Amino acid sequence: MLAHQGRPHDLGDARHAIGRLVDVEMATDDRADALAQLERMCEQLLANPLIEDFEIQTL
Amino acid sequence: MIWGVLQFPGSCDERDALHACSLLGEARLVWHEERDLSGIEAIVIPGGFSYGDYLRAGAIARFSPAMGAVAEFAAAGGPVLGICNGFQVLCEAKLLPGALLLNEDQRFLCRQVDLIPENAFAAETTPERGSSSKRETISVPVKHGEGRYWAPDSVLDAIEAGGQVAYRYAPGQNPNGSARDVAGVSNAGGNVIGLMPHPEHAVDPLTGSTDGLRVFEAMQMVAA
Repeated sequence: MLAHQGRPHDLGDARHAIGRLVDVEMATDDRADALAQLERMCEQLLANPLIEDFEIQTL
Repeated sequence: MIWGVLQFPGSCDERDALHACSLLGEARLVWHEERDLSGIEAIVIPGGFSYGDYLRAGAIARFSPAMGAVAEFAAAGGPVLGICNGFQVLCEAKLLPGALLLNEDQRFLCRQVDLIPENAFAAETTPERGSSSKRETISVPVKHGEGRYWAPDSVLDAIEAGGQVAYRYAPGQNPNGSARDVAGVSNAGGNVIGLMPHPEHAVDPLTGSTDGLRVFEAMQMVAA
């Protein structure tokens, strides 16, 4: 269990996670292409899949 | 033998590595933008903070032109030694198994440690090999913030079975929480070696130990 999940519960009981947030702006309108590029970027550089999980969200 | 010592922006141990190599042969720096390793017979990837270690230690260096050339050099059987940040770079480049995590106590550490040579490569670095000496460890310094070796149990089992664990910290001396006390590993071919401790800082009696030179001598045997 992560230390921050053992916080005092009178501060509320919401799911939370601590990690790295990377904003990426891409010069493409092709959503599938952008997601494929991002996936590759995450696997090869932005995260080390051996020790880190990643999740891609589009805004 | 001709050695090449990589230098990234943010490297800081390349001069000591160059000095260690020059005790055994010719040595030159290889700037991170270079791709041509022709004439070089062994590569050292030194310690430091390549590209500032932004993102993760060693993550960006992996994509440098020089590392592309090193990957080809290693694939052809060329001897490659990664020290500290160099070890992190080799793990990020997938030339070595595992990863280096933040030290267990989350602090940068700097101290002298004893290492137990484990595999065939490391056995060549045992002090006074062949003499009557009973000393079975080598003494070299560590200095790092992200030196906790980690790999899944299945990988640890495989590298132990395959003779890829090069060095372990002596009992009670694991400084960073490394899995199974692993201080250094090699690839399956045995020509790529990475370790967190710094043999290049232990090549002169002035600094208290010359055991580190044996690591460089053993690299020559890999090249032979």
